[in-house]
Amino acid sequence: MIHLLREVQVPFLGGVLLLACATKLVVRGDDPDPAATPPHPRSFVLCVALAEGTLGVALLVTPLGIVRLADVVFFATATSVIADLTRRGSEEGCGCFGGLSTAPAGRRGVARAALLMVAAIASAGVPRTGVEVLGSATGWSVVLIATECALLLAISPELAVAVERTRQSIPCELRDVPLSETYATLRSSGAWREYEESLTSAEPSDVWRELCNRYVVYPARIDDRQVEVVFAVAVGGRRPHVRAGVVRDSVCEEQDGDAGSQWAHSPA
Amino acid sequence: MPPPRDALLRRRRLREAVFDDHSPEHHAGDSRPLRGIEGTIVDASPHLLLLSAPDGSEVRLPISAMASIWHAGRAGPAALRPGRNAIVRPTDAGGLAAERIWVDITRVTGVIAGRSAGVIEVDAGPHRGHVRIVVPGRALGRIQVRHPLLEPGSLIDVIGVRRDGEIQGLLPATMSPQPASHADHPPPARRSGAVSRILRGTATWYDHPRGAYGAAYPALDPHGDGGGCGSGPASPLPYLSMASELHVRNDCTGRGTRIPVIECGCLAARFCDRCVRCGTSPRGRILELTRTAFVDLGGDLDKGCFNVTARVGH
Repeated sequence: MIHLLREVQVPFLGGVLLLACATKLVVRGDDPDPAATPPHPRSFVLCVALAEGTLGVALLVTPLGIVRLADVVFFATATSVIADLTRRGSEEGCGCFGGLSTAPAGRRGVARAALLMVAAIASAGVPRTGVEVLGSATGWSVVLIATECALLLAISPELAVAVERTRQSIPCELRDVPLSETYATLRSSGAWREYEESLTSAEPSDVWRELCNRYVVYPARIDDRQVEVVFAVAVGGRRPHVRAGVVRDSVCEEQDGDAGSQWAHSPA
Repeated sequence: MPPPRDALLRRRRLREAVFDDHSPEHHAGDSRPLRGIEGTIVDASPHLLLLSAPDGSEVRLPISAMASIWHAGRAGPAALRPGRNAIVRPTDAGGLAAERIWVDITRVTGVIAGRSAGVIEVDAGPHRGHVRIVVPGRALGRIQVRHPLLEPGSLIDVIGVRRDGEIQGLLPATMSPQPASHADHPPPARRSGAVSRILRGTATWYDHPRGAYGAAYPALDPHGDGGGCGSGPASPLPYLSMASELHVRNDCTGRGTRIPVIECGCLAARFCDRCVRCGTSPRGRILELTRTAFVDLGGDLDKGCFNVTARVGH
């Protein structure tokens, strides 16, 4: 049984690598903010996808030891990178499955990469190719591969993203987004934590929306000066951005609270 | 209430504080916009028009030899009587010489709320309230060419003239061969797919009571201080807010400029007609411009619409 478990890791890892390659090539991020800089240049993503594709095909067609070693090194590196992102609390996604992996890297991502690394180590000494293993697959082999696939999906945050993306097909520019959703996104963001202590009012002085961003303005006091902090909260996408800016001009102070509510829908 | 320009500048500054996206000041079309002038006629002679602008200032406008005057149709200088409202489009040569003058022109767009004989009550939306139109017998046939069902619940869009304190409906504002839909049955909204931030469609005009400059846009955010109507647009337009800016170009004249959003165009999106001023517009009404904004882009008020390209975003 142990031997069978080690053997099925070869086609399983080959399949995972080919899937990762395909999603990197096909699935782009759904960033509502076109001005935002992507975490990785497209050329880098293409190089990684090429490496994954090559490694995945090699696992399926050749039993060479160098391929198995490269497999172990690949997943060990991935585990290290994701663990580092998680430790630093970065909001950057791992990009493991292209545009589906936009959620901030977390423990589930580390656990997944570590399990795949263990699988790569276990399959290192298997003398058969992935295709040969699949060609002689028994019922137990199928059960083992299915179980591994289910486990992989269970710990993958990308599954929820894919389901949500399928379900929610309305572009962010057209989505009617309630204020409660915007405030929830805002108050869980790093930008909010950075300025929260400086705000002098719990209520925003102005809230308006343009396309995929909702702007929320609060009066604040920074360096003993009355200022306004404006947050731009993305209203769509899988990884809503929150950006902040500070306006130090006193012209805005004079107009505090006058810009929005009286404008809104005043009948003739 | 802050003057619209103050709110526009304030939100532009706040937006730039986040995105550092200084918008270019240049005009958005191939040709510069004209400078339409609106006001009450103080005095007029065959060669000079004196207007009192909404801000109280007086403007002297020479009338070019080729000037055309509209007052319930083509009219002569006798229509330029003191006390009447006029909107003037200057010549393309620069300066203020009047090329087109519309006297007491108005427009009523909305849903018919009631009708009795030659009087039609129109619900013009939450911003513009209820308006009564008196339709002379000779104009009724013309209007029914485009609005055959003058019954409660139907959409109507009529250009008329203010006369003796009432609005006389004269002609349908739409020349589209496609009749407007019933108000209760708007065209279905598209719920998926990519959204272009360059909108191509129809721009119409409306009669702002204070002669403001700007546009009414159908898809304003109904939450917060966005100023939206809350009913959502019938056609898929990206959400904006009051004081958002649009780069608007008249596709028929090539004139373009930046125009602020100053009102929710609550009813515009219910119309599914097309403008046929210079080819058929690719979609229905995406903007209602105030009279001066419409004239600045080279529009003819008595024609009702032009094809437009509006770029949103920054």
